[in-house]
Amino acid sequence: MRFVTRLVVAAVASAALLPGASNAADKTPFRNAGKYGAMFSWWYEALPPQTLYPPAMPWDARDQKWWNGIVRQATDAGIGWLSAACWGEDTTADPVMLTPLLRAIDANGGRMKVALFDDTTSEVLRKNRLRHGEWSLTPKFDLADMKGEGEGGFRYFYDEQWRRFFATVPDKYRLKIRGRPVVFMWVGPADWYSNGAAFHALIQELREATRREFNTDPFVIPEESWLRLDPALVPDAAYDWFEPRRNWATLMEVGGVHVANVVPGYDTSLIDAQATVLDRQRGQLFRAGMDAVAPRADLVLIEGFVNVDENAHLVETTTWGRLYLNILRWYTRNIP
Amino acid sequence: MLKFGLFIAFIALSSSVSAQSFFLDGSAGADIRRFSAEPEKSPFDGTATAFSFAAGTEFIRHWIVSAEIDLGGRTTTSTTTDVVFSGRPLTIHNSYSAERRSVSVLGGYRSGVDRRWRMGFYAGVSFSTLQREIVSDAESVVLQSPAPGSVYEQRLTSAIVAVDVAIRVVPHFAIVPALRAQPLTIGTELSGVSVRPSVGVRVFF
Repeated sequence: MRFVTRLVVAAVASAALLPGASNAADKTPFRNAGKYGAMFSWWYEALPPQTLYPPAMPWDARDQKWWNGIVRQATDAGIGWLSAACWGEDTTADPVMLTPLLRAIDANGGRMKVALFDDTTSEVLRKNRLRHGEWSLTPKFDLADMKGEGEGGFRYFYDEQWRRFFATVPDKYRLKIRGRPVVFMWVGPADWYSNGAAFHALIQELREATRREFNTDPFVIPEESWLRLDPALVPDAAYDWFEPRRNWATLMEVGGVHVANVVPGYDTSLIDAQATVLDRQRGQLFRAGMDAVAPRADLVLIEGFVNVDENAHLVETTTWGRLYLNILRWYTRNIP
Repeated sequence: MLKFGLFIAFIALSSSVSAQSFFLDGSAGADIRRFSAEPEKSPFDGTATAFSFAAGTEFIRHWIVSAEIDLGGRTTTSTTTDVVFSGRPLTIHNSYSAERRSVSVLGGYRSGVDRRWRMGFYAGVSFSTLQREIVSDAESVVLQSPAPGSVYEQRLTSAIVAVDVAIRVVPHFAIVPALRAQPLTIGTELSGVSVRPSVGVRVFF
């Protein structure tokens, strides 16, 4: 009988020590939020005239209720982070204007994170506003001119953009990968930028400056066009912004990190005679895009949560109700 | 660390008594898995065949400690998504599969030692591995790139509760209907439960 008891003990011991039953919580998290996030803009005082599908809530970002309502809907949909589309100093999308977003995050449980989305159109526009008095994309921005002696300048990226974001959005609100705050860079076309091969040096300088001033090293995710402009660029990760005539979902892997971009629909027909329309098909376009990218993506950047300007929004509307919030919630729950 | 503690505790309990009795269980049943993926049903919901094997000892009269290995089979849900892009109709096929295996350590109480029917109530800790697999042609259809499929393996530590009735049919042998339940919660996103009715046999000395 004693032998049998020992046998039972051995069986239990083997079971308890069976390899593979360790607690996953011991590992350092890759991200500090869920993998799904969406583009966010806040320049609205009223609904733009080109909006085909009116949101169900009053549309005025001067009212804190608007911010609270957006974050509430994003939370309901399971979104882990918002990517703030920043246009820099003295614009209607200045990063210093994000304080109401932080209040809204606090009012909705405090879990939502924020990434800086550097809209790289803005550096060209701001430079030309200052140098030539015109809000124009020409002349091009010279990436090799870091000192700003000609058609370039580090200040347009750092002083007027990144610095203002990091000074406004405290550490606890920032989306992080491997402990580093995420910065997305929008497209870098040769039509807007000259000396593209200097982009990697610019990114290095931006990271150094952020490290010096804010004691944090940004995790920079440029759009894939920058890789074509500057083959020497070795980014932390990269993404491929959708092109409505070619695709509505993309997935890109760089440095072992898979970043996706998806749009639920797109329609600029009221402001552009040659507009491309991505028909939503009652959510099927969004579902198909998410089917394609959600399983393998580490980050899913959805364009966009509030993009009523291009009818690419997800928020509750009088047309589709909460359809897109519910679709997104399904993916955030089942393919986390 | 938790497993190591349980192991030491079990050794201590088993060594401190001169083995009142011991038992071996084997059972087959169902693994009913449900996840809270509102507003629609989760594709990982399903009912699979389950098998479990347990060994334990009644170290003090009525009081039981045991360990078990429990294998829940594979469930698969298939879906399709139809969409039109640039005038071209596209159909995407998705397949969502899930499989669970657990190792548990349980303690509990069993009623009347000398009766033909013995009710048992148990609670303990379960170390589970939940494997989910998504196979889809969406990547090749939408992105025009290879679709290797995705496998997620979550290791979960959770409480487990169980109840059973041992019906002695001959000396040292009983038929045992049982019910086990444990949560299957993946991070903060996907919470679920595994409920496992079963029927098995018990050999005891």
